Amino acid sequence: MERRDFFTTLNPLDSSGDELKSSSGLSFVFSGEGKKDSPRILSGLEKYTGQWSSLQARHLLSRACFGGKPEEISNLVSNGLDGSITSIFGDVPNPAPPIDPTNGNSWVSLQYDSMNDYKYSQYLKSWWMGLIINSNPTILEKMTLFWHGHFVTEYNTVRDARYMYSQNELFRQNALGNVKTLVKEISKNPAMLRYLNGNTNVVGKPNENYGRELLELFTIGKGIEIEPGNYTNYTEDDVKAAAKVLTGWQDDKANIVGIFNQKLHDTNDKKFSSAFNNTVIKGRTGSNAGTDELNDLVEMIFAQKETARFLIRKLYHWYIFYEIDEITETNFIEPLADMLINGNYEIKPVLESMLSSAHFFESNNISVHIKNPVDFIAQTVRTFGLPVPDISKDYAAYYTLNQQLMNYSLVFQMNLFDPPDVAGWKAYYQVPDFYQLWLNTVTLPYRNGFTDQLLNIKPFNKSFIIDIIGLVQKRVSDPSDATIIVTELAEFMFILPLTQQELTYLVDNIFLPGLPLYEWTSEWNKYKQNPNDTKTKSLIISQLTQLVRFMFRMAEFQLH
Amino acid sequence: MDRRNFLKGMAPIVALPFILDGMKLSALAGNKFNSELIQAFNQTDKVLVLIQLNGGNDGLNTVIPIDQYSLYQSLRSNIAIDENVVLKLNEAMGLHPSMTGFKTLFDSGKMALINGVSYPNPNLSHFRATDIWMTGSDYNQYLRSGITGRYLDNQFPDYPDILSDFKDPLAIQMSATVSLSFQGPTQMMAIAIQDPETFYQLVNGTSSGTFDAPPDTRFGKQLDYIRQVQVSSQQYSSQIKTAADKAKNQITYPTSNKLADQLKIVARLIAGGLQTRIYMVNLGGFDTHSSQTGATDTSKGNHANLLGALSDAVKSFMDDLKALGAEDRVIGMTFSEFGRRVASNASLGTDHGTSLPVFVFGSKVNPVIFGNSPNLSDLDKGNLKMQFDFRQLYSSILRQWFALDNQSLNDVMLKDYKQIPIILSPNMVDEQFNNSQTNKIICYPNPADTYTAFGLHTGSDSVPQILLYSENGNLVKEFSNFNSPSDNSEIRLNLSSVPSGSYMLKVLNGSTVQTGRINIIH
Repeated sequence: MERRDFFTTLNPLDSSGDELKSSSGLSFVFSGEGKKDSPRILSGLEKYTGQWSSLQARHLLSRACFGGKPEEISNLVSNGLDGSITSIFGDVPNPAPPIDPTNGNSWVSLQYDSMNDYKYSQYLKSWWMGLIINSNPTILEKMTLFWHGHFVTEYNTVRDARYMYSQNELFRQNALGNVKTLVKEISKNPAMLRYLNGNTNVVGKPNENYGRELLELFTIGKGIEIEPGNYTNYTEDDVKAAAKVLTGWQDDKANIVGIFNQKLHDTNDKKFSSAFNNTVIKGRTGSNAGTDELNDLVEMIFAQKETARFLIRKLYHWYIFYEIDEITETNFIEPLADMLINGNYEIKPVLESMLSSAHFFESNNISVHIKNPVDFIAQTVRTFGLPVPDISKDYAAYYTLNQQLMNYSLVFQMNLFDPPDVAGWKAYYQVPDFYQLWLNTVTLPYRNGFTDQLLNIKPFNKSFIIDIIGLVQKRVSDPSDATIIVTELAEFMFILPLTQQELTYLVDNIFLPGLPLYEWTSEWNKYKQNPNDTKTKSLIISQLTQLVRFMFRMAEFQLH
Repeated sequence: MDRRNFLKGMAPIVALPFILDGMKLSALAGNKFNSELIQAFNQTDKVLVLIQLNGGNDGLNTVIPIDQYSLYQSLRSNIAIDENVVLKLNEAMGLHPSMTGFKTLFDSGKMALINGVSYPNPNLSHFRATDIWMTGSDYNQYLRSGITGRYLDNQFPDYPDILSDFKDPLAIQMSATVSLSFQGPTQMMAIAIQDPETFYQLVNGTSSGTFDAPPDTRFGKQLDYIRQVQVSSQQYSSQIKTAADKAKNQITYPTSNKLADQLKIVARLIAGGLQTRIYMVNLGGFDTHSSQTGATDTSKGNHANLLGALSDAVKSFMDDLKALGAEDRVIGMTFSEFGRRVASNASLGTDHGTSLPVFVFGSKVNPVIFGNSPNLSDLDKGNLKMQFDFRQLYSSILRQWFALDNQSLNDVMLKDYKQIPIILSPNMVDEQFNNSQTNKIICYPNPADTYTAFGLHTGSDSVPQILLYSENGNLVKEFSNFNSPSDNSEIRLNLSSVPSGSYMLKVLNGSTVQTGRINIIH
C-alpha cells in the first residue's frame, strides 16, 4: 500500500527537515523519490488544452463551486473552458442579508439583542447554506467559505450574530479582490477583535492572541523551528512586537465596526527580527496611528515571498489536493506565488489561472477530493434537483429547510460560522490524513443516513424527497433497460465512470438480484401503461430506491 | 496438550526462544500462527482513558502553589485564587476550589499528581504543541504517527486483519473526529463513536460488496480508505452495541457536562466487556485568553466551570466503575497542549505558557504527588520550567500498566525515558530478569509439566516466600507446600493445578529476591 512505502522511503523519524519544509500547522508533503506506483503529476500552470466534456465541466463545477444542476453542466460543456471560467468568475450582485423568518425582517443592523441573538445566529447559518445551495454556479460562495475557514472566528465565542454577518460580508466583498486589503480589514473587524482578544490588547498589557495567529495561521505561517522561539519565518519576539502594533483597537457594538482608541495604543517603535529584515515599525501617535501601523505591519509581512507561498498552498489544498510534492511546488505553487506578488496580491487572476491549468484538469487530480460536508449536501441537492422552497414565496419554509440542511452539516462536522478552532477545519491542514478526517465510523454512517432520508426512508422533511421515477424519466435515455439505468445513473452520480465489474454487480446483485433483465423491462412497461396504478408504481419506486440507496453508499459518491 | 490454552498463556516471542514441534518459532515469523501467539500474549484487560483538555489549561490556577502564595498573588493579582478557598493537598500546593471531586479521589488514594509536565523547548502554538503531545516528538521533530497509534500497531501488527479472538476496536475516540494520537505508522488505529445505539442503527444497509482492488492512483487510494471506513463501521457495530447493552450506568452522572456525557459511555463499554484498550475523551474551552475568572470572585468563572466539570465527571466515572466492578482495570490521564503564562493579562486571562500539572487517576495508581510546586522565582521568560517530560508519563504507563517490553517500548516511544513510578505494583515483567542476572533461579525441568525444581541457598531459618506470576504481572499462586530447605537444598514445586502458560517465579528469601522464568505445558 502506498502509504507504507512512503514511510519507509522517507524515514519519518528523521528530523533532518528534508521531509517537511514547514511545521505541522501547514501541510505540504514531499512524496520523495522512489515512489514508483502512483503516477506523478507533471503538468503545471500552462493552460489546459485537452478534451472538454461533461467530465471536465463537472470537475470544475464541483471544485470551484458547489456542483452543478444538469442544465448548468450542459451550459458549461457548450461554453468551453474559457467561457466556463468567465461565467464562474462572473460578477454577482450582493445577496440580500438574512432575515428573521418569523416576521420577514432583517436584523443585521439592529441593536444587539441578547434574547434573540442565538436564534439570529441560526438564521444566519441557514441563510448562508441557502446561498450556497441556490446561487448560480460562480466561485463566490466557495471562496467566501475559504476565507471563513482561513480567518476563523466562531459564533460560539463572538456571541453576536450581527458581528458574524459583518465578517461574512467582508469576506464576500473581498473574496476575489486584494488579499492585503482583506488582511488589513479583518484585523479591524469587530468579530475578529472579539474572537482573538484584539479588543483587550492595550499598551502596557499586550494580548498576543491575534498577533500570534496573524503570523502563524493567517499570513506567513511557521517554518522549521531552528531554535526555540524561532520559526524561521518569524520569531516569538515578532509575535510580541506585532501585538504591540495592534494595541488600541476596540469593537463598537452600536455601529458594528472596529474603532481605534489612541489612548490605549503603544506608541513605541516596534522592532522585528531578521526574518523581516530587522524592520522597525515607527510608533505613531494620533487617531490614525492604529491604521498606519497596521498597514506597515501588513506590508512588512507581505514583502516576504513565503507569505504568498503559504496562501497559494492553502488554496491548493482547498481546490485541488492535500499533497504537494517537489514537482508541484516548483511547477505550480512557485509560479502562482510569483503571479500573486507581481499582481500586488490580487487574487482573481491567480485563481483563474489555477482553475484553468493543465495541472487542475490532470486525470490524477479528478475525483480525488473527499467532499466536505457542505460540498456533500449542496452537490446532492443541486444534482438531484431537490425542491428547495422559493424564498420569495415562502421564506419560512425556505429557512426551515436550510436550517435542517445546516444541522446535517453540523453533524458531519462542518458547522458554518463555528469552525472547531482558530486553525479552521482540520481536513485542510492536519497531516497526514487531511480530507480523510471528514469520514470516520461516526460521520460516514451519518452521511449514509442523510441520503437514505432523501430517498424517503424516514425522511427529515417529507417534501424534500427525490422523485425517483421523475429522475429516471428525465435523466435516463431508456428506462426500460436495467443496464442503461445503472450505467446512466452512475454517470449522473459519479464523476468517474464505474468499472464494468461494479456496474454488473449493481445490476445483478442490487437492482435485480437473481432476476433476469426482462423482469425489469416488463415491470417498467406495465407502469408506463398504467402510471396511476399505485401497486405498480410503488414496486417501481421500491426497486429504484434500492438501487440508488446503494449507489449513494458507494465510496465513489464521497469523492469529487 | 490443548492448543487453545497453550496459546493463551504464551510468552512473547521477543523474550524467549521457544521450540515448538522441533521448529524454532522465529522461523515462523510472518506466519499467522506466530501472529496469533503474539496476539494471545498481548491480551490484557487493562484500560487507559486519555482526557484531552483543549486549549491549554492554566495549571497555575489548577494546582495553586500555596508555598509561594504572596509571589503567586502578586504575579496574577486579578485572577489569583484566594488562599482561603484552595483545597489543600499538602503544605506546598492545593487544588482549585471547584475540584472537590479530585480532592476526594486524592484523599482516597486514587489520584496522582505530576507537577511541571512539559518537554524541552516547548512550543506555544496550539496546533504544533498538540501534535507534539500526541506524537511524542521533540520540539524540532515532525512525526506523522501518534504514541498510542504506534503502541497499538506494535501490539496488533496485522490490523485491520483482526484475528479470531479480538473482535473489538483497538481504541475508541468518543467524538466525531479521530485525533493524531491514534494515527499508526500506516493507518488510523482508533474508531470514532458518539452514541452506541445510533451507531448500530446507521451502519445497516451498507454492503461493501466484493469489488476488485481499486487502481493504484490517487483516486484508488481514496476509494480504498472510504471502503475501509465502511467495513470498520459494520465490523464493530454489533460488538459495541453488545457491550453497551450489557452494562448500565450505576450512578447518576452530572448533567450539562460534556465530559461526563462521554465518560458515561466509556464506563458502559468497559464494564460491558469491550476489549478496547484506549479511550480518548475531551473537554474544550481551556484557551482562556480572557475572562478566565470572575472579576470580583476569582474562584468563579470560565476556568472554574471547566475544572469543576472535569472534576465532577471523573469522580462520577470512578464511582460508576467501582459499582460496575471494573475499577481496578482502568486508569486515566489528563493532558493539555501547554499550561499558561504566569503573569495574567489585563483581560482577566492568560496567554500561552509552558509546563502544567497532569493528573493520573485510578485505583491502581501510585497516589503520590510527584515534583514540587511550580517555582515562581525561577521562570523562563515568564514561563514555568519543566520538571517532568510528558513522554516519561506515557513511557511509564506503557511499561507499568500495559507491561510493554523494553524493545517495544523503544519502538513506540522512540527514545528511552526515565520511568516515573506511577502504578502501584506495576506489571513490569522483565525488569527483574534483565537487572538481576546473578539472582536468577534456574528451574528444571523447564518447560515443566506436573513439577519443577530449583536450588535455593538460604542463610537463615526463615521460610522463603515462593510466588508465581502470570506474564501480565498478576499473582497466580503462592506456594505453601514444599519441602523446607536447609542450605543448598532443592525446592520442588507441584505444578499440576497451574494452567499451561508462561510464568515468572519470584522467591523472597530473607532480604533477597530471586526470579526465574518457567513455562508450563500440560
